[in-house]
Amino acid sequence: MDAVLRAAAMYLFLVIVFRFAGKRTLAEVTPFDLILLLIIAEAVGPAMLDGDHSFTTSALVVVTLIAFEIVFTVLQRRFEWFDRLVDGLPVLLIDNGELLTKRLRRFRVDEVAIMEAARELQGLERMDQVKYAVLERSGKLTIVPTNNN
Amino acid sequence: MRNTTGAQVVREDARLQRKERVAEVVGWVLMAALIGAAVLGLFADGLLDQSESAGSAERLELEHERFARHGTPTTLEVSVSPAEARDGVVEIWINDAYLDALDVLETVVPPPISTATVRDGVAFRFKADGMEPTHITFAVDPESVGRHEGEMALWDAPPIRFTQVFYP
Repeated sequence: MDAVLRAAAMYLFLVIVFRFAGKRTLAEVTPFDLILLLIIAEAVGPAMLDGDHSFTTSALVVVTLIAFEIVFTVLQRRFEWFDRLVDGLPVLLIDNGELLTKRLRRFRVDEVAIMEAARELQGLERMDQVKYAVLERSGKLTIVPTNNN
Repeated sequence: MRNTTGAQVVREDARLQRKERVAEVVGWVLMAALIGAAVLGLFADGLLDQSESAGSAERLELEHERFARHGTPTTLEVSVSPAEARDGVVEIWINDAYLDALDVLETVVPPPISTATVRDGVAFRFKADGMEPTHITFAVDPESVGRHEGEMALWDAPPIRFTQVFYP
């Protein structure tokens, strides 16, 4: 019972904290994002297991976390408001070639990150080849090139 | 909100974005407050954390942390005046209600020469030379989450009261 409650509480806590942290946190953009993810995993593990290293408790924790993930995805499919609450919506950062600088600041994205995505995803070379840049719900950037690219 | 064809690329919602912004700022303030509180010792180990209680005329002094965490040992530091030794022994009594909130009484230094269940609590007897104050350390492992009232007494004297909060 304790293991299940701890796992459930930790799942909800992480959902809330990462919602506050913003889309770009843990988007795995840089190696440090991956390191941060690993460090967080190390930090929460002992709190859920509470010194109990048995197979039973570990299995209970895993099952609880997966069950919550399934419940959340079902609720997100079922209720649009819940989906928006948990994952938000994609955000336009470049609109018809125009940089929306306020939004870039707001979502902690710079031109370097946009050009990196443009090169990686579309093989583009210059910013004026980007028609739309979107910050997706996952925190990743997607690029729509201009029509003549 | 920009009313451009870009809005057809993604389904934007200006109201939601504003709400998200407010929620994010509130979240950041809460996180900063949490870190500040932790630095000050609200979750143990810091300025707000240490507390001292004393019996009359400093015959019994107790130092403890106000805040402790489940599964992380904390200590009760007790100092007994040499005048309280009787035949080379001092007796410290701790109430059951406090002891029940602990997972285990990890160690007691120095080890008691005897323990007995008396008066809704446990009486620990220790050797005392009667010349120097007797210092005793109870290392305890909090179990039960929440606020706990402890009582500690010297022999049959009125107990001193102390409060600890155990976080999950």
